[in-house]
Amino acid sequence: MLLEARDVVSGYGDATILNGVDLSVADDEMVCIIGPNGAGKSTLLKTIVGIVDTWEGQIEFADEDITELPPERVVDHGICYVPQDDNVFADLTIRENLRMGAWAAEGDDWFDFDERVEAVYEQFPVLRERLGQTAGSLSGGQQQMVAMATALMLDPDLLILDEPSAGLAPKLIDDVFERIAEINDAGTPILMVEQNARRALRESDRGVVLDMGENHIEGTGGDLLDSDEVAELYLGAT
Amino acid sequence: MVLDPQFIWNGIVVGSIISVSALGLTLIFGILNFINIAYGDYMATGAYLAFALNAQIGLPLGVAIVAGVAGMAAGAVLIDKLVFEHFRTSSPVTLLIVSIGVAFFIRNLIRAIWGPTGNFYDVPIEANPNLFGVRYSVEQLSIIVASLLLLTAVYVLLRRTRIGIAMRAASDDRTLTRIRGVDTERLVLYVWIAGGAIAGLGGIMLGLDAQIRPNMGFTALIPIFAATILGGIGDPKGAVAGGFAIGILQEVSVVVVPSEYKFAVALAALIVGLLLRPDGLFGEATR
Repeated sequence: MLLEARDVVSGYGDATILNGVDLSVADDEMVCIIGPNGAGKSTLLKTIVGIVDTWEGQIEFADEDITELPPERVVDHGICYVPQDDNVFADLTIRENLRMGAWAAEGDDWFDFDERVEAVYEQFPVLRERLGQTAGSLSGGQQQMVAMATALMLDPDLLILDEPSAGLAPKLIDDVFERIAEINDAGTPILMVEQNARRALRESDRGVVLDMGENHIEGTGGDLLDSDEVAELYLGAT
Repeated sequence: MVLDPQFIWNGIVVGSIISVSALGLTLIFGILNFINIAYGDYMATGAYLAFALNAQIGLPLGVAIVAGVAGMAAGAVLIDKLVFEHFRTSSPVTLLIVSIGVAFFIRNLIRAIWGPTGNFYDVPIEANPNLFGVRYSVEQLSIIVASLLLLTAVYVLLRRTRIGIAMRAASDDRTLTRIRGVDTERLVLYVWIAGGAIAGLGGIMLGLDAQIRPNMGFTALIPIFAATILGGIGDPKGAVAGGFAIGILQEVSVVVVPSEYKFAVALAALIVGLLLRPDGLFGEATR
């Protein structure tokens, strides 16, 4: 397994949010975490990337223990994370945002900033014309593109997305999911949390249902979509 | 009534000092997210360090200034290690109150070492030259040139260098900056070095323009805060624009109001500015 989290317990202050959660992501896989509000989906992502401390349990990435690492060290392992809100530097230009995305690799031999920027533009052509604009001046959908582009600057070994479609118009949601599928097809494993569960499960190799900070059901995207229990409890009536 | 250009000149000099000082304060706020009341006393410390080396030990003023600036940069780092670092996760209000304690401590330490009376740098006393009816001194010219150089240097740092871009990023969103792989504690160190050095320079300029007194920095805080907040706190170019605006307004106001009310003019400008542009000069128009 590329990412392996076992019995993870974490939370904020006195409030325990995750009560021993297991999660794994294999190479090339796209895994989607679904579940009701307050299930601990975002907290699980934040715990993996080190923004929230792990109280118990263990998180391994590519056979290395990353449980105790702070966020600025997690990225060195090739894990890039796009938070749900506040995922771009609003006061910085797009180019500067991309520069920040490249921070962990700048100075490394393999890394060529201009080359990576070109590669990222291929995936997000709209950004090309807006280089000098501040990210804060962009629309929500464009900001989401900047956020994903920034996270892709390092050519990550795992891309973690928290609600990439939140707050976007339906047409843009299609666009975002298309990009995510492309990124995954190109070989980058993805772990995401999505409110738009049906859509996300259709795109994913595997789905994990989280409820009350515990694992519930797990299966391929198709299996979960077909499951009556999942449909009734977590997908809502259609 | 014709406006005497002398007042504009004085305003540019004072504006230069306020701009430089406000820039340091706003940089510290941007990363550490608290208003450091001790900043004025950092300024005074820089001024006194240079005074001790220049007027007391007899070093040339230029050397004393560089050493005073460097000394205050080191001092700011030391104070962070001794005090502020222990309150990193505390609320901005707690930090503000802690900084008031630091301010009192520094001010009284200065008083204990150098006494309460005013002092001057050892600069040659010459009749001020006169150009187009404006009297100016070599010190004033140096203040303006030095501020322009410093403001340009900081601009280049923040816009063109990797560390500078990361500083702006951290001032925008510290968590996201960490997610991108930046060790923000390292940035905090750099910001104290830069902020302390700038405070020291601001204090020395203030001492050159007027006199060196224990409460010189504390008194100067009012127009500096006014400039910082008017410019949008945490926004470097706002602080600079606010600094010149407040400086010039304050000096020109002498024409209509008695000069004891200079600071009231700074505060009035701040209030009007906040009413018109709550997010600062360059912030989003009213929210």
